Amino acid sequence: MILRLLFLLFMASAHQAFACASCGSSGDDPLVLYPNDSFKMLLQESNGQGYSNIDSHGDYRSSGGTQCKWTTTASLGAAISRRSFATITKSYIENRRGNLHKQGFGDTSFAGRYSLAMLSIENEWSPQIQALFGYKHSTSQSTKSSKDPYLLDVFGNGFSEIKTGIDVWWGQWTVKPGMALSLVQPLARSINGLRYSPNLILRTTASLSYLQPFFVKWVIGTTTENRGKVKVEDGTDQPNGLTSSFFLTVESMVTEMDLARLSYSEIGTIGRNYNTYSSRNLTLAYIHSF
Amino acid sequence: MKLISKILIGLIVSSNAFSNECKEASWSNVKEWQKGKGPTEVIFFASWCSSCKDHLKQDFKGNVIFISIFDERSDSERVLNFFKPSATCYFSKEIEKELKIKSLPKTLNVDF
Repeated sequence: MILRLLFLLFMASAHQAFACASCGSSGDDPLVLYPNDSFKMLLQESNGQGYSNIDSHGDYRSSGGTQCKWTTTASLGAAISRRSFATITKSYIENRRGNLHKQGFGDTSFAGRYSLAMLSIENEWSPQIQALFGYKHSTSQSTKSSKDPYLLDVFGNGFSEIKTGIDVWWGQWTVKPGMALSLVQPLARSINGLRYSPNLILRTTASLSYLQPFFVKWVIGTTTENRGKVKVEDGTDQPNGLTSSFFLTVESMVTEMDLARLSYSEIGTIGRNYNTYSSRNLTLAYIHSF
Repeated sequence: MKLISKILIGLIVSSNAFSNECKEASWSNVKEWQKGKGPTEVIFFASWCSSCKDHLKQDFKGNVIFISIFDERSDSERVLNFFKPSATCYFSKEIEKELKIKSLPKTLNVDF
C-alpha cells in the first residue's frame, strides 16, 4: 500500500523531462552526473529487512545477526569534463535485532566515470559507453573483527577494494536495454594477526528502462555477483559465493534541478545463490544538481 | 544581370538560413544579431539529449533559433546536419551560465 502510494506520488510529481534518458544503467554507483551537471548531491535512506544466510547448497537459513538495517547515504559528485565525473560516497548504518541496535559509519567510496562514447540523437542505435573506476576505503568493522555476538557492529566487508568496469546503454527508444560489468579486487590485509587474501569479484547488471511520456523513468534489472574465495593464512579459506538479485527503480524529475528515486530490490532471491545472504530493500533517494 | 544578382543573393541568404553550422556566440551576440526579429522561440539542445530530438524534428511556425549548449560544436553540427531544421544555430559555452540554464531540453520565448 505504501509502495503504491509512493509510486503514485512519483507520477504526480514529475514536472521536467529527462535530459539524458540513458545515463548509466543503475549499476554500482548511486550518483551519476549528466553532461550538463557541474555538481550534484545525493541523500538516500534505505531499509533492509528479512535477512537470511544462504549456505553452500543454496539453502536459506535464518540469520543469527542483523534483522533490519537502516542505511543513510550521502554522495557528492563533481564534473571533471563534459565526459567525466568523480563522486565520493559515505554511509551511516544502523543494524537492528529485536530491541538491540548499533550504529556506525560504512566504508568511504570514491568513483569516477569517463564516457568513451556519448549517445547521439541522430542515430538511435548509438550506445553510451562509460568506463568505471572506483576505490573503496575500508574503515568499518567487519565480521572478522566483530565483537558483537549478533554481528550488529558489522558495517562493511573488511576489505578496501579497487574497481573497474564498463557501463553500456543502447538506443533512444522508449524501452532501452543496458548492461554494466564491474571487476572488483578486494585488497589483501591482516586482521587479528591473520592474512586474508580475497580473490576477484565479478558483478554484472542487466537492465531495461522505460521512459513514460509524463517524464517518469522505470528501470528493472538483475545483478549477479560472483565472489571469489578468500584465502586465509591458517588454511581456513572462505569459499566463493554467488548472489543474484533484482531491482525495480522509478525516477521522477521533480524540478529541473531535483530528482527523486524510489527503488525496491531483493538480494539473493532469484536464480542460483550460495554462500551469501538474502534481504529485501526499499530505498528512497533525493538528488539535487547545483 | 539583376535577375542573376537576385538569384545569387537569394542563394546566399537561403544557404545561411538553412546552414547547418552553429556560429559561436554569447547571449549579447545573439541579441544583437537577432535584433528587430520580434518574438522568437529559442530552443536549447545538445547532441546527447534524447529528449531534445522532438524539438529538432518539429515543423516551425514563426521565428526559431537553436542554441547548442553543454556540448561540443562538431557534435551539435552533426546532429543538425541530420535533422536539417530550417533555423539559425548558435553554439555557446557561456550562454548556459549567462542564462543560468541547468538542464535540457529548454525553450525560451524571447522578443528580440
